[in-house]
Amino acid sequence: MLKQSRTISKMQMLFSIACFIQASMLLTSFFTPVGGSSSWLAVISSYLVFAVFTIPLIMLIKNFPDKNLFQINAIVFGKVGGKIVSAIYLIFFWTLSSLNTKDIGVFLQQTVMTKTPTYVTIFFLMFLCAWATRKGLSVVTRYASFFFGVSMIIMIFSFIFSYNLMDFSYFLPILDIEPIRFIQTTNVSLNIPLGEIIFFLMIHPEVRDINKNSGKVVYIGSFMGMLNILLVVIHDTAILGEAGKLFTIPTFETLRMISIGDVLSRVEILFAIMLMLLLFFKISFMVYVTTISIAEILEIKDYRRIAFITAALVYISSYIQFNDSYIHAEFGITVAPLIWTFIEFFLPFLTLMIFIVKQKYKKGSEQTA
Amino acid sequence: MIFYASVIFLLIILVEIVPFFKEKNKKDGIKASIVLLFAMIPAYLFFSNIKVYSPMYLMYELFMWLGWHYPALG
Amino acid sequence: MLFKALNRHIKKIISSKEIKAENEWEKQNSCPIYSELIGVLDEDLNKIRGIVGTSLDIKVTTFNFGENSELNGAVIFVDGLVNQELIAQSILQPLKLFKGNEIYMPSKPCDVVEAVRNCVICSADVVYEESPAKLINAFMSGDTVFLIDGFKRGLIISTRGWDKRGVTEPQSESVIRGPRECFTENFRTNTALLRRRIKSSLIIEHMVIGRKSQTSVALAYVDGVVNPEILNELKSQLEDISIDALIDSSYIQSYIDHNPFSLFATVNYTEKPDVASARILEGRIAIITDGSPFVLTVPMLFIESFQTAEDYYVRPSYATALRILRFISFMIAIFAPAIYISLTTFHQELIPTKLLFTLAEAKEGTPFTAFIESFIMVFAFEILREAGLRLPRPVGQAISIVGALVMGEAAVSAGIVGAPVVITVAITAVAGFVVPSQTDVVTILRIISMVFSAFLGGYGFTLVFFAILIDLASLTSFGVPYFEGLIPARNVQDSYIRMPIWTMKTRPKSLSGVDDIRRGKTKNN
Repeated sequence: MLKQSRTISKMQMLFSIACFIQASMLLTSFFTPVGGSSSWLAVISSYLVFAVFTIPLIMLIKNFPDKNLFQINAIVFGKVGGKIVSAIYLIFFWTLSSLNTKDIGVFLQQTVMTKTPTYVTIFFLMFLCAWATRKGLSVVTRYASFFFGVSMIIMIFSFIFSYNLMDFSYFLPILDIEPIRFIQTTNVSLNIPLGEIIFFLMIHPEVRDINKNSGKVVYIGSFMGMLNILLVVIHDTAILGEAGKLFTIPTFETLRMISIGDVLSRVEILFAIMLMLLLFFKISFMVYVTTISIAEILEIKDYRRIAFITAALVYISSYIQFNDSYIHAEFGITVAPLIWTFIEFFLPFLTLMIFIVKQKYKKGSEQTA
Repeated sequence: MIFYASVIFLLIILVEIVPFFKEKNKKDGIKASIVLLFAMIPAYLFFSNIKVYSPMYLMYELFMWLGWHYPALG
Repeated sequence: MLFKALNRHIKKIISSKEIKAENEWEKQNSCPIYSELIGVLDEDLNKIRGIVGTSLDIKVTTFNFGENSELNGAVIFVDGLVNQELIAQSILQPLKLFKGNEIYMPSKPCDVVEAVRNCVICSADVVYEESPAKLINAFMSGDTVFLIDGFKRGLIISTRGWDKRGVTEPQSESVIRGPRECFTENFRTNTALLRRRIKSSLIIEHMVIGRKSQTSVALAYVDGVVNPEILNELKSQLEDISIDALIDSSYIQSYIDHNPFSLFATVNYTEKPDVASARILEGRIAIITDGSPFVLTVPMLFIESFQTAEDYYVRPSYATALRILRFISFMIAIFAPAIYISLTTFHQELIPTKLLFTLAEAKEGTPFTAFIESFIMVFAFEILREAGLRLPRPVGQAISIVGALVMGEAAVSAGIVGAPVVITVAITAVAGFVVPSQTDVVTILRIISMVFSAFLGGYGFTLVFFAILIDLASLTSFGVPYFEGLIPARNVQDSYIRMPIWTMKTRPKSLSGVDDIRRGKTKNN
């Protein structure tokens, strides 16, 4: 039987990155309460910082086009050191997967399925994610462009429909917050949607010709995703202003307000569908990465065989991570930016530096020999 | 909940763990079982209403205690 | 996984049975005593009669011919499969007139068969054959076998001519504009219909499948355009088919479908020669089966279900609108009852207030939940559809009218179901027929999504939607991703939209071989 190649194209990776970042639009509520009306500026500045901070990631991809992050760690840090660093990443991947799973559970309970317990809603979602993981990366990423297109259309439409509700004076005065708050917002926005692309370092060996134009793929993909986040932040601030802080899902509230004559109302259901699409993609991708990470660290030959186990792990831990959603939110604003920055940007940077130093040392010793 | 969890875990064992041992791939089978235990033990503790702390929660507490954090919203 | 294990187990059992069956078949057919003609006419005829049995339709006619009637000959044919007039005109009449003065020389007896072939029989398709098995096969297929006493070889003369249905208008793919020809059950007619459309480089490879039926099967493809890997894979799969009789092309379909337990078919079919030839020209391979008016085409992409022949014969804007309409109809056909159930059961707040009142009014007094109501209506509709299809046409129409109009109206006025359910199921039913090749899939998915939305509301049918996406994304047809063409990529001229023909410059990359340029300048000039 002819089998399709397991690799994916660069275009698929680009849309996957865009879709992955865009899926975090639900999490804008992490930083909008901090940044207030200046959040949109923080999003832009976070992208600029991201553009610089991503250079080590791209360099790693270019230097190791056929090695995933864990294999790179093993090369750079040695066998034991590599395992320890990889374990840090694994805990990070696992935590993020379960946190996102928890988020979709909470979102569903707040909006669509108010009476159904999250145990049930998430169970089916995790089953689907595990199933998709078993089918392979090409299945997980194939519909990214489709999801991206659909959500972009929905976002633009909702932007247009809610134009009459917008009051741009909410943006004034610009930067009327303490500098530390602005930095904090930038840091949260840098880590939570953008920095999560560290997940892609686990799958880049499966992308065809990734050593060419990898920077372009990462930058364009993340820009497309960021643009959507920015759109959401501007949209929410322009409609709700400072009141946006009061809501857990401000966008949902803004869309609820749309009513064009008697013709068009209850547009928020479109937003709910869009978020479900995006989060489904994001979580299935995260479960996929967690699965291959576990398989890689434990040296299990076929990752597909532990997909359901990983899904169970993520499912259970999504209840255990933070018992209180208030602590979850607090963690996201206060501590997470620091830990995340360490894992998402500092560790890869360290890896790259050690690799470069090792290379130079090797060259030097070769020359002297 | 414990009943449902048991059924689901049993299904997972049947679908994913048993095939490893059937193929006499004991090494991978044991590894997969360990991963499953990581899911099972917290699950049973959680459903028995015993508090379980995740690594991230402990990190949060540690960082808060150390004072390494951004100011909270208040 | 369960399906895969089941599949493996079934395949194991089947393969062991196949080996047994093949051994028996070899035993039956290996006839060491009669591997060649004896050369004595009576004995040969007796042997043949012994093998084929005493069937009434197999006619063996012996006669004398030659100047002094000194030569004995026999024609063997199957009554009903041959054109008897042709036998009389092209074989018997010339033989009776054959004197053999100039050609027949007793010193060179071997020349008679050749002389008869060259100078007597008036047919363009005459071949020598020495193997009795092949001779038997020939007259069983409608040719006439001619044997002459004293010679160890016979002649196979093409005299096929049985009653057949003419080329009519297609039943399942009717068009307003475009060719109205349709494949028939006749193998040659079908190959000719394709040949008439693609005159250059069309290759029609012949093979025989079926131990007892000996059915002719042809693979049609364009050399250079076809992907050789796919072609070889298909050939080897067809050669591996071990079956006693091939009644219809769908038998082949079930053998070459790589995903037997998926809801979606990965082998397409058509009854229109223009559609088949267009697919061949995109790099696909057509499989023509004798006795079936449906030609299979592989590899199949999901988008093919939404493309019709007419899309390419009408203006692009209209074709695009129709295509989008088909996608929407497909979604309605699967999800409309599920959406109705979830809106009325879980998300009443999403219904505009006025409509909510109307719905509540209609619902008042009906005893069942939305799910049960919808289920009853969908089930009733499926029964009516099945009855309408299987019954003779005039009765079928009556059933549809009684079923759809009378029963629906009566059910509403009796207060068993609400009118909104009837409307929902009606629109679902009609939408299901917009994409005919997916009607079976739609029916099953509709019920699954109804069940899920009864339990989980809007989230339930979104889950079904994800599951469908995962299944579609993981399917492949002969190594080509099934979802290809639906994901926005560079080849968008012919997917959700249909651009003008001249914009489709290259063939779909995943399907075609070396020659992938179909319009404009080719690589050679």
